[in-house]
Amino acid sequence: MLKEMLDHGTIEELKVFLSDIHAHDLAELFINLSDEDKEKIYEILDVEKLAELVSYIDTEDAADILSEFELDEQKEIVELMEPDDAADVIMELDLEEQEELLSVLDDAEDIRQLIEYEEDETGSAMTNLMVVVHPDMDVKKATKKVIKEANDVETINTIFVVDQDEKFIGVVPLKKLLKAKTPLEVSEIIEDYPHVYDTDPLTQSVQAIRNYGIYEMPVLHHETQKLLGMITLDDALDIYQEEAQEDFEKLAGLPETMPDSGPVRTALHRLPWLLSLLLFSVPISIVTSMFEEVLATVAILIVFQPLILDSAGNVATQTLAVTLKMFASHEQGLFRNSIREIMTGMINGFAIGFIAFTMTLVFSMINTSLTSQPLLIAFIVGLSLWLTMMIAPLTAILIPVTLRTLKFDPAVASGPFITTVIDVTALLIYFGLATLMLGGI
Amino acid sequence: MLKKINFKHTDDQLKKVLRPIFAYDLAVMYPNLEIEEQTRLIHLMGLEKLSDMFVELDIEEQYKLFNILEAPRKKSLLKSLESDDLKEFVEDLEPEKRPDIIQFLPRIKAKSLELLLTYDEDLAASIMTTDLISLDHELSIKEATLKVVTTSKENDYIDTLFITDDDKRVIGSIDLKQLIMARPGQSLSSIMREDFHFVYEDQTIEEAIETVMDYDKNAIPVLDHEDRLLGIVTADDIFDEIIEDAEEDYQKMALLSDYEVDSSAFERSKQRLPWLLIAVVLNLLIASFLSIFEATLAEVTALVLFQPLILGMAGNIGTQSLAVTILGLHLDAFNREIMPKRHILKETWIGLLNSIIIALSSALFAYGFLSIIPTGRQSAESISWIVLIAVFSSMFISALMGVFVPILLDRAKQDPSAASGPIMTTINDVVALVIYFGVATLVFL
Repeated sequence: MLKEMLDHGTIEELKVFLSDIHAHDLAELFINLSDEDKEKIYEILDVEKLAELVSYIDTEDAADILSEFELDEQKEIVELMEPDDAADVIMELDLEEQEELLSVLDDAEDIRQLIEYEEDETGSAMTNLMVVVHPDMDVKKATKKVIKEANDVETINTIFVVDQDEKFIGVVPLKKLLKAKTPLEVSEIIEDYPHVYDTDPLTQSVQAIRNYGIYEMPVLHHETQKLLGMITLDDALDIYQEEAQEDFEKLAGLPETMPDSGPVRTALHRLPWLLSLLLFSVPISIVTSMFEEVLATVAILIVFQPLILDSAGNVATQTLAVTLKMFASHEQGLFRNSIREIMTGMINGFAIGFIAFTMTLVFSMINTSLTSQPLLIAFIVGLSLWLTMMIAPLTAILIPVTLRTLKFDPAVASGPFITTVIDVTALLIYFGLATLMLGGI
Repeated sequence: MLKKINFKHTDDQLKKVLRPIFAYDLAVMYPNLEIEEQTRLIHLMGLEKLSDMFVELDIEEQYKLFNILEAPRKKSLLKSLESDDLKEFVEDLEPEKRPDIIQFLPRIKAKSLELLLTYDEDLAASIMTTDLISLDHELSIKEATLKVVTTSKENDYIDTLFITDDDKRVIGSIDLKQLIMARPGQSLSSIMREDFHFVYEDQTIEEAIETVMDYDKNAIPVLDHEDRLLGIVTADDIFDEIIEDAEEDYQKMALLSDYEVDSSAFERSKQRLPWLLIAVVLNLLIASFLSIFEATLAEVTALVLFQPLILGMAGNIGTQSLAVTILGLHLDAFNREIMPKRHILKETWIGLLNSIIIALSSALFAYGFLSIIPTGRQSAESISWIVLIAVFSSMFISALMGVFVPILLDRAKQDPSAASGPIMTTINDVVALVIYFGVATLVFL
C-alpha cells in the first residue's frame, strides 16, 4: 500500500497516511522499500514520527537510518526517543559517529551511562522517563507535578517516591493519588514496592516483573540505593521473548537467526555447527573399529546400535535442557537437582533396559537365523542400555557445569561434547560387554 | 529476598513482620508451612495482600486456603479477585467443587463468571478481565475524571479507558494520562484515539499476544462483532501466556513433559518415561527392519563405522530446520498465506547446500579413515562413495521433513512442536539406514 502511494499518490495523501499509521506498522513496511523510496519518506516524515520509526525498527537498521542524517537532525531525532531506545541505537553506530553525536546531545550523560552497562545488566534496559515525588509533598502539589510532567514521561500510572538523598522509598499508584484529599502528605499514602538493582542480571529482573505482576519495576543503584530508572512491562516482554528464542535456538544448535539474509548466507551460518559435529564423530568411528572382530562375528549387534545410542542421547537431551534452564533462571539447588536427574536416569534406565531385554529376546527368538544365543544378546542389550542411561545424565550435568566454570556458554557448546562423550561410552559399554560375553565364539 | 518467618512472635509482632513481605514471596513460602502456621498467617494478612498471594498459589493450595476462611472472608476474598483470576480458580476446580465457590458470589459476578467460562481456552476472551471502566462519549472531561476517581474499585484497570457511544459500541480509547492532562473545556471525543488496537471475542490468544507486543500496549479491549466492549486483556496476563508458550516449545524440543523444578526423581521418571518408551519401541522396529540387511552387514563390516555419523548428521540438520520452522510458526513470521512458500524454498536451498558440503566432508573423512585403519575387505573408495550418497540423501530428506512436518501439522490445526518427538527421529533413522545399507547391498552383493 505504501509502495503504491509512493509511486502514484500525491505528497498530501502520503503525508496523511504517514501521520495516521502506527510506527510499528510503518517500520514493517519501511524495511522493504528501495533506498530511493526511503529517501522520499525521510523528506516527508516529521521528526516525531521519525523518532518513533527509529525506536520500532531493528537497532542495526535504525542505526543505518540515523547515519543518513546530518548531526543536528540526528540530535533532534535522538532527543525525542526514550533514553533506553536511543542508547540501543547509538551503540550500533560507528565509534566516531557515536562520539560526535554524544558530544552534541543535551542529556548525553544519561545515555552515556546506559551505554556503559553490559548488555545483560538490568541498567542497560532502563528508562528514566518517570515522575518522582518526595514524601513530604502535599498530595495536591504532587498531583500538579504529575500533570505537568505527564507529557514527557512514559507512564504516570505509578509515581515513584524518593527521600532527600534520592534513595527509593516506595511508590504511590496514580489511582490512590487522585483519590487522596488535601491536606495530606505523600508519605501517608506511600506503598512498599519491589525493586531491582542496576547490576542485576536482566533476565532476573524480567522474571521479577512477572512474579510481582507489576508494570514498572524501579531500578536502584546497587550501592547508593538511589533511584536510577525503571524497567517497563512492555520492554520486559520483548526481552523475555528474545531470551526464550535464544534458548530454544541454542538447544537446536542454531546460530542467532538473521531473518533477512539469503539462503546461501544462512546456510554458511549454520554450517560451522554441523561441521564441528562431524568432527566430533571421528572418535566414534575409531572406537567402533576397535571392536571390528566381534562385530564381524556377531552382526546382529549392529542392528541394536541405534537403539542404544538414541536412548542415551534422548536422556542426555532431557537432563541438559533441565540443567540449562536452571542456569538461565538462576535457580538454586543445582546439586539436589543433579542427584534427582541421576536417580531419574537409574529408574528410567532400568525400566527401558528391562523392556528392551524382553523385546530383544522375543525378536531374536523369532528370527532364529540371526543368532544362536538370543538370551545372551538380549542380556547384553538390556544391561548396556541401563548402564548408558545412568551415565548419560551425569555427563549432561558435568559437561555444562565444567563449560560454565571455564566461562564458555554452556548452552552452545554442551550439545556436541555430550553427544560424543555419550556415544563413545555407550559403544564402549555395548561392544565391550559383547566382547566379554561372546568373546569365545 | 526470602526471609524465614518466626512464628513464635505474638500476633502484633507477626503482623509487623508480614507487612514488608510482598505477596509473591509469601506465596512461595506459604505451601511449605504447617497448617496451623498457614491459618495464622492468612488471618493476620490484609485482604489485598491475601488476594494477591492467593492468585500466585496453585489450585490445590487455593482450594485449601479458601476452605480455611470463614464465610464472610470467603465472600470478600472472591470479591477482591480480578475477574480473570477468579475464572481461572473456578475453572481449575473439579466441576463438583465449583458450586462451593459460586454460592459466595454476588449474582452479577456469578453471571459474568459463567460467561467467561464459556470461552475456549485458546481464545483471547478466555484470559480477559471484566473489571474496567468505560466512559460515555458525551461526558465532559471533568465528569469523566470524576467517574474514574470515584467509581473505580481496587482491581479495576483504569490506565486505559474506553469510550462508548449511545449503543454501547466502543468508538475510541484514552489513556488516563491524557484525561488528566486535558483542559476542562475539551470534549472526550476530541481527545480520544479512534485507531485503538483490539481483538474480537473469537480471536485467539496468539493474536492478542501479537497485538500487545507489536504496539507496546498495556491492555487491549476484547469486542464482540457489534463492537461492544466485553473486557480487556492486560499485558501482565499476556506475559504469563508468552512464558507458557516458550516453555512448552522448549520442553517439547527436549522431550520433557511438564518439567517442574521441585518434582522428585520418581515424578520425573513417570513424566519422561513415555517419550523414552516410544523411542525404544520405534528403535526396536528399526532393528527388526535392519535385520534384513544382516548379510550385507556381516560381509561389509566397515559400514558400521560410519552408521552413527550418518544418523547423527541427518538428525542435526533436521533439528535445525525444525526449530526455525517452529519458531517461525509461533512468532507468526510467515503470515499464514504468503510466507510459507518463501520459507520452504529458502530452507530447501539451505538443506541442499549444507547436505552437499557435509556429504563431501564425510566421504573425505571416511576415505582417510579407511586408508589409515583398513577395515573389511572392500576398498576405501567404494565405501566412501556409499557414505557420500547416504549422508547427502538422508540429510536432505531430514531437512525437508523438519520444514514440512510442522507446517503440515499447523495446517491440520495440530501443534507444530509435536514434530520434535521421537517419531520424526525414527522416520529419519529408517530412511537414512535404508539408503545406507540399501546402496551397500546393491554395490557389494
